[in-house]
Amino acid sequence: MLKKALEVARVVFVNHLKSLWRAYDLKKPRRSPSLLLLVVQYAIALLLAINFVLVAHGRLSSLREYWLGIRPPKNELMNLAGDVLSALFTSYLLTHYFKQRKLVVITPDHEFLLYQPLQPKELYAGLVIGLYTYFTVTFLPWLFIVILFTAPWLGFTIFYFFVYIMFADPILFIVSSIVRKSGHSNTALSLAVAYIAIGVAHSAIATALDSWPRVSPLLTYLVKGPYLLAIALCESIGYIAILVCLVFTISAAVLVIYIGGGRLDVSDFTTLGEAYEVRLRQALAKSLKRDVLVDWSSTSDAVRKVVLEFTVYNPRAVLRRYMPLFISLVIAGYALRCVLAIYEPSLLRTRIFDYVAILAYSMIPGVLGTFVGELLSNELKYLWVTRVYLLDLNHFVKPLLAKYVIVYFVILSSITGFLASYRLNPLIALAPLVSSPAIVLSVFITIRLSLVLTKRAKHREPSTSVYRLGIMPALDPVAQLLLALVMTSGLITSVVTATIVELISLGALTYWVVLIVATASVWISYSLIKLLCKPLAMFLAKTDLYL
Amino acid sequence: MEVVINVMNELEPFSTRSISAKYRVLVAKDLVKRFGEVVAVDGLSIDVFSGEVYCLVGPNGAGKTTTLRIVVGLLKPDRGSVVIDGYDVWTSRREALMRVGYVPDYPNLPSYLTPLEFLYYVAALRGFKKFDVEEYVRYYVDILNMSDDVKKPIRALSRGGLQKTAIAASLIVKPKLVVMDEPLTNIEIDTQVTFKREILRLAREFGVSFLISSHMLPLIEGACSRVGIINKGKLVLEGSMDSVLRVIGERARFEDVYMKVLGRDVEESARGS
Repeated sequence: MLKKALEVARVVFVNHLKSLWRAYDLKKPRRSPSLLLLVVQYAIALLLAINFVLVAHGRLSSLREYWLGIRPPKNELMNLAGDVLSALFTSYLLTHYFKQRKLVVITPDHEFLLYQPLQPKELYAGLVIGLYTYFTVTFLPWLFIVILFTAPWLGFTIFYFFVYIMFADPILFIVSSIVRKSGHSNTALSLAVAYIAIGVAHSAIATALDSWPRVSPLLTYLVKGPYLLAIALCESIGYIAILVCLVFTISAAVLVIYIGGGRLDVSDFTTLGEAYEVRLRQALAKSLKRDVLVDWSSTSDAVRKVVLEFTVYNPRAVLRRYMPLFISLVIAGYALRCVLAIYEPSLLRTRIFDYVAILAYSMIPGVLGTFVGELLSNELKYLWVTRVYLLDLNHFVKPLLAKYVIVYFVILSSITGFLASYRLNPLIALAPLVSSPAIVLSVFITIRLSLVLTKRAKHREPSTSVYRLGIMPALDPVAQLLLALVMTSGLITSVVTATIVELISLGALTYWVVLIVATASVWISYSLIKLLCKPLAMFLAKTDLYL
Repeated sequence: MEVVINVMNELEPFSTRSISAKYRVLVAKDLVKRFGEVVAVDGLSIDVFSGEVYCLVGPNGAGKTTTLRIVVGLLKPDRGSVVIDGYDVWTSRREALMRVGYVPDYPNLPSYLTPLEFLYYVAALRGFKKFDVEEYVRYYVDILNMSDDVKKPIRALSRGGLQKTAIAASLIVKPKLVVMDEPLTNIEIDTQVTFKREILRLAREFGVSFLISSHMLPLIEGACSRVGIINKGKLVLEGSMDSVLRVIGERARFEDVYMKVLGRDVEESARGS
């Protein structure tokens, strides 16, 4: 029954593995720096695993108590934070799937497979099995690092959660597709919103009754469930049982996907590149009411307009988009402080919310990853225009650097804004200014490595993939390594900012010192941009351009 | 051993009588470009004279696109040099490129601009003011049949629309040398005819030189004053169209010469046609 689907899965899986093999060039190790890159990949994996374990361990132990029937104590703020995050994630999942119109397929085999004599359910099940088998195989080494540092139960828990998320995604997509095709999309969305509203109301009542913030299980169990189940299974019936459970879960999920996939058709699929284009188009249409390029005072004026002002990273559009987030976070920080001051003043002296900040900082490398996608899909795709027609590339480099520095800065400001109002220490809000030289360096590294990425991508994928899939080169195995390097530069910036926040919080830096250092940092950043423009312009002018 | 047939000495006088002095606008010498173990361009040399339309033809993967990308400075050759109007593309980039217009094989253009904005943007990149290029923009929008699309976003254009926009951009910057990679792909027939007439006019009246890679016989036979056949990164035949046709005898067609030079059976080609 699943024969053709398994054949599709085999093609997808083998093609991905082959590309991995080609990328690492195992046959000619001397000609390829693959070993070094592998070491770098694992070093980064190690860093991320330590970060994950630090953040996750406290939360999981409290969840274990929760599962065993022990009511979490009031001062378990980690548990509360986990519940809030789970609730947000649940709300996102429930509303997101009724808006999504097409299934995003991240494989260069996409078009080839669409022309094969396959039923959509065979294609869909095959794609899901093939891709997720590949992801699982490449995920396993990371898992071993987690197991090595903690305990097998945590490793199994993460693995179980990974499988759950993997299969929840296509199953939710099938459900939403079926609902959409039956014409009840709006009803389903309304029901989802109503469900969330009931969850919120339940949380409010529980909070009022308990005089401590509580999140309704209605909003948390969709996400917490697999964690709790995996932990409970590990503790009660052992690892063999959880393996059996995993096999059962995967088989059941594949069967559901295969049967439900019969309701899909070819038009339900799209590539990541196309999805990205659509997203960009929508973002442009929504947030950018721009002028028309009808006149310009100088070359740099025209370049600034096209590279910066006419895009979604237009400073005004960025401010419009992020200012509400910034204000909300500042208010949330202050509100949290007020709640704690009333209910648990002792907690104000603890560092409990540093974990939330660590999570937020760890998102920065991900943001840089998105920049790389943006760079590959837009800036670098059109770079031939700049290379051939612009005589002085400095005009192009300045707005390019400025654009990404602005976004980076706004995101960091949101995090430190929250911390500043929570700790009632306005100096913390200046931390992004102090770490601005690191931000400039990160953006510089990102742009340079993105150019290298284009070169690698050209030789790993057929030329049409580069054009049609847009962001696809970022998923190429070698590209992944370079992407990891880009993310490391983001990690350094995160660590620098976190350290500065820490020093300010500890009172190691006085008011005047912070002001002077912030002023000096801004000046250094400005000088750095001026200093780095020339080498970056030269690099852009001299490097081979493939896109 | 491969034999390079060079018929340069038989080069006939250009038909562009109004240009008094001919000189080399492009001198590409001994170009070599490797991608890993693949030698894409292997010791290739091309000269393009003022007012000349030079066509580079060859099978897929012969190295045409790589050669054109080297000429406009998008790829750096492993060996050899490119001099445009006396300026080396790599050591005097600014002076060399300000004389060049370029149409790539697949023109990726900023999708959020309109074609009109893109044309003005390209003009701005070259340091022109709006009034410097306004007439040119109007003229090329008109003759390339772009009027209906000129205010739509580029992302809404067809492949032919993208190609026309890139062609117009390459011509409004008042170049001395225009490098075009498959410029007529996906363009409707009437615009192809207009395009052919226009490049001949620019070559004849203004001495603009064209280096064009193409697979389209009407363009090659109807517009090129000189042709180079490239195979496996090497130039295997070069000369004026008439002299190239005489390589295999009187009343030969270009396709016969092409097949012969590439080692394909001419008789078979004739039977096929």
